Amino acid sequence: MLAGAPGDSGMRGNGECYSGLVEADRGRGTFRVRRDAYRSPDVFAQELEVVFGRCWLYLGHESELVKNGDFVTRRVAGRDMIFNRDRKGAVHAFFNSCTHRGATVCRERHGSAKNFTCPYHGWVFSSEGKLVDQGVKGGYAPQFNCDGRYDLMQAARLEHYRGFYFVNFNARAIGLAEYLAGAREIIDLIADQTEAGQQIVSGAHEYVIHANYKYLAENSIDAYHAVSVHSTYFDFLTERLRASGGEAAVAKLMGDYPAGGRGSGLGNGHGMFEGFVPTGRPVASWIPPWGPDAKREIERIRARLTERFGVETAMRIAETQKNMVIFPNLVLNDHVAITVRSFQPETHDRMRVTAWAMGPKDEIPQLRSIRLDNFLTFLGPAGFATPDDNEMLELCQNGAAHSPVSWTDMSRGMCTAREDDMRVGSGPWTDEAQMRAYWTQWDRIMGGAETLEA
Amino acid sequence: MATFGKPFTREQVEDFLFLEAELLDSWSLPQWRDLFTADGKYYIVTPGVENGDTASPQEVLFLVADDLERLNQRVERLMKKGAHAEYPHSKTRHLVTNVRIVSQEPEIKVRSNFVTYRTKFDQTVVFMGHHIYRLEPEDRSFRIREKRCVLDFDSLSQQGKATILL
Repeated sequence: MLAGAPGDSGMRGNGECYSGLVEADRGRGTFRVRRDAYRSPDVFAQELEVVFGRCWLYLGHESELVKNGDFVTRRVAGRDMIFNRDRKGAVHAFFNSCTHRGATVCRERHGSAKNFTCPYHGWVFSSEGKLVDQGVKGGYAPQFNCDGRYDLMQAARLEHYRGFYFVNFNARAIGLAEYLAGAREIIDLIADQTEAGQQIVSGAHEYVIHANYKYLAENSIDAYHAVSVHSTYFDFLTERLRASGGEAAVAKLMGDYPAGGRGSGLGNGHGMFEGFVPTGRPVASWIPPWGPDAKREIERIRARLTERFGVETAMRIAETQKNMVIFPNLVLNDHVAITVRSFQPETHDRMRVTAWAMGPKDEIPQLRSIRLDNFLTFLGPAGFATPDDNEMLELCQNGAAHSPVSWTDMSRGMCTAREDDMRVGSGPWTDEAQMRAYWTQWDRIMGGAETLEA
Repeated sequence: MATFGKPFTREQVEDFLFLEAELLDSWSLPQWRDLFTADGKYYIVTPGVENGDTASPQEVLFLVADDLERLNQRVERLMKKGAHAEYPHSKTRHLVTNVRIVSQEPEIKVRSNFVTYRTKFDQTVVFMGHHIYRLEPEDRSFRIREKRCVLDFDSLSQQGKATILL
């Protein structure tokens, strides 16, 4: 399966390859990925075990569990989880399967519960996951559950960084903070936008994309495609800013697009690009269409940020747009609004996406309204940009599945790349250094060079 | 011929809704947009949102929450080749049923059910749910002051995109 097409000589250059699926050739200035990495069910089965069995995977945000007893249910890498805050306030990640016969215990998508009762034989689990009742009386030895083996099973590890909760199914995994590496700084720039804390706003966009999940990881940190795929969004933006003279800023961006921002690997496969796009940001970069009230509030937020972090960091928080992928399947986009987007692999050619809007708990209603408006204009399955991205991913999957072409290419900027470890490479945002960072880590994990264990 | 004025008949409203569906199915989007009043609003509530009939896009994330300006831009965009998700245009069939005039005063409020099929690249998906209209009589027909689409889904796990107008 992994053999090349006829005439393909396979590995070249200095052989930075562990999985047999990624080829970095510095001499030639090319970086390529075998299309089997997207189109092969066998590779996918291995990924579920190796990549999703060892990496920290996003579960949810602390703001989704406001009160003790609150819970949400969701699927993470094929596992149905209950994410809850127990009656004493501790946070858990349980597998949503009865320890008796396996039925799904909790059928609600969210709610508040002191106990979870399995609908099949009536086994009752407390919010701490303890088996507290087995329905019909009698029939079991007193020591039946003395070691807790019939309590709800928990994910091996559950940790959070600044309110973002992740699970890991490997008990020996390195800690979350170490895993996040350079991504922590970008999370800080989001969390520090408010002293009241960030929150998930209700109305998550959930949809399917008929493509391999890694196509979305690439696309989410790909600034190269914006000009070709999102021409209609830039038309919209120009039109929207015309009345206030802001269309010149869009023209300037498009005039020297590669100079507009930087892309970089953040370590451990995480990657991002950062730049200036004149769309306005509720934190804290005002544009004229928002009016004078919003301007006053944004000036207040900006002044407070400057007071807390100094001019330079405040400017970075307020003005630059950041698109980040946390390896392997989480996106945090901090641009026209904040998106928390996790994408769950379902098959080699299908993923399920959940995209949440995030905003400060103390945001005034007008800015919250602008934030949501920004979000659905650009993002979401009915937005002016995201559906076109998704169409591209589906075209890629289709093209890979129905052609004998062996390789997909991510060489842009490779000819000038100098870093030893491509996981921390960088370049103009239109380069593909940030995707090479992702794939280099993927290759190392799949090839066994990276266990992510302490 | 029935007089055109309050109280309006269901048949008169249905004629209007059927015309609207035909404009959508023939991708006559500029003409469809012209059915809206200058202060017209077009909403698609995000599937899974509770109280979809009354939820506000200022508090909850919607799929679509357009005023006339953005509706203009949406229509303009969908008619371009650069709107890749709708290039080439999908084929759609909007079926409208269970039409009921809920109230005539102070404005005309209508509820109706819909099933819409979208086909692109040989794949067909179905959208179903209900609409709530606020209509204004004009020139022997109506104009739309607000159209709210509430889908009967938990998510877009089958449809993926909501790029057609519903």
